[in-house]
Amino acid sequence: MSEFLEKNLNNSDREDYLQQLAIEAQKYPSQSSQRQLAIERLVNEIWQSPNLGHPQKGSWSANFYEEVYHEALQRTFLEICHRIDSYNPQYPVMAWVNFRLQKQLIDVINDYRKKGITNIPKIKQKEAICYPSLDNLDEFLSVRTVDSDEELLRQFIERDPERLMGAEFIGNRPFVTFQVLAIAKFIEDRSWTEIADEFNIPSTTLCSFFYRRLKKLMPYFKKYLEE
Amino acid sequence: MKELTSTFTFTIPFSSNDHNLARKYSQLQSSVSKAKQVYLNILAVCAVNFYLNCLSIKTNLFDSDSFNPLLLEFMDVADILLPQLGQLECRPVLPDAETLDIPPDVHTDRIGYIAVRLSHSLKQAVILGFTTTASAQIPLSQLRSLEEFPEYLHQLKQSSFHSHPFDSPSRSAIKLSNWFEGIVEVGWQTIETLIKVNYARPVIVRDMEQPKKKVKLAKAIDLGIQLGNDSVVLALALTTQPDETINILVQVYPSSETPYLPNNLELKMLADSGKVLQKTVSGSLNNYAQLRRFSGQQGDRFSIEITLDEVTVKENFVL
Repeated sequence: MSEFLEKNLNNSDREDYLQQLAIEAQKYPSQSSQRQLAIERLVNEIWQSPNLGHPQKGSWSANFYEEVYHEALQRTFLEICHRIDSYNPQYPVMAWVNFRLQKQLIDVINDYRKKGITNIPKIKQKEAICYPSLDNLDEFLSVRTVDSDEELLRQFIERDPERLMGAEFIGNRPFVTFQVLAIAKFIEDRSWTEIADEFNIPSTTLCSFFYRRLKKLMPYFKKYLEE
Repeated sequence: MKELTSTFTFTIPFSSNDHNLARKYSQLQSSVSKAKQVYLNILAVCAVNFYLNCLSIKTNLFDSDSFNPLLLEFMDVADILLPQLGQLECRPVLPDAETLDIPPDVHTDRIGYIAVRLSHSLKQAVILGFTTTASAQIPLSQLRSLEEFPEYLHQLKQSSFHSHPFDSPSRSAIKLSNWFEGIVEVGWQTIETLIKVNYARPVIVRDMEQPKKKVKLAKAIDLGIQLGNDSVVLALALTTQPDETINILVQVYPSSETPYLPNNLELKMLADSGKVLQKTVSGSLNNYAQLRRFSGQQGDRFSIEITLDEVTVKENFVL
């Protein structure tokens, strides 16, 4: 089947290959690795198909369209993957995909209407919904300022009321306790590599110790911090 | 052929739900750099979650460590929990990066690492491939193709399920002394990963001398015909004594779906010769079963067998 990938595919070759993948997927039981592989390849091919549609593209602002289109694409791909058995090989795969995509797009827009964005044409003008790119992610992010939760966690680590954090230590180093590491990491805000260097312990060993103990001590943290 | 498989990728369009989730968890962070890390990590996790959903592979998104705000205070994690299998790490790869970077935070307790290339616009992502061995930096060209991933997960399932003792006489033994060094075979996890903590009974260490080191790890074992049914969790707790003797406590817990073990589940310890040294049978309302604690020296071999009806699963160990 891989020889199809090697050629520069023309349209009908592409469609043949898509159909082959869809039929291949249908042959195997769901959850089998053979079906999963065929599904993976099928989704990949659909993405690359020049025939993947953009229904209603001109009707909305670029930002709004991109958002609903991506949502509709996600739903369409999931539907195609989960309901591959309902594909009828008499029709081209892309016809099925585009038909479902159109339907899903209408559903997504209706969902937006229901969620209270009743007057979508307004959004068209405002371009209201924006998500960050790597260029403006820093400005987009808002972080909490020092708040009571953080202060509570800091005090909890320092006090260790039941002495559980102080009792967990790494290897045969009784002074390198979970508590010492938690203070270095959370209160002194140092990196694991720095801390590992200071104690002359490989950083992966140090992290593995801390991670496992943290999960073990999670009920203890929650007991004091989530009241 | 080689080149072809390595270029296989899987593209994911991000939805507003994915961005909202990333924003929600990034807002809990106290610095911009940490918030950015969490934002990108969660997008990578969402991408892999979508990929796994397409393949009908069950995920447990919100029980993953990447959605535990307390854990995020300390660790750089981007895992997704696959029930019965373990944690799969989904690392974001920036558009111009040439390596998959794996921080020391997540070098253990993972069944694999998936490289997720984020687009500059953060509107979509491409899964580039995966690796099962962690190192700080892995060139993207050395990743395994995603086409091998479904088969890898199935093998992982097989390795913990249905390993009949006579099918595989040469099956290699798990070296337990490595566990103290943090070297752990695929499939073995902390017990908290495999079962809800409230069902797990604490290990009672009765020894009078203070043990030198402790480690407890667990693995999902499937005893049913249908995958996912009648699964139990085998846990081994090891402690070393100052004279290098290793004490072993073997326990079996029910999987998270039920608080009780299946009735008539047999747990046996066998000597290297195959002779049964210990055996216990669970009743109908047992939360767990365990063998009497035993000890040995480095190099000693033993096997554990779990039997339910006609199905027997055997694991070989060497200290």
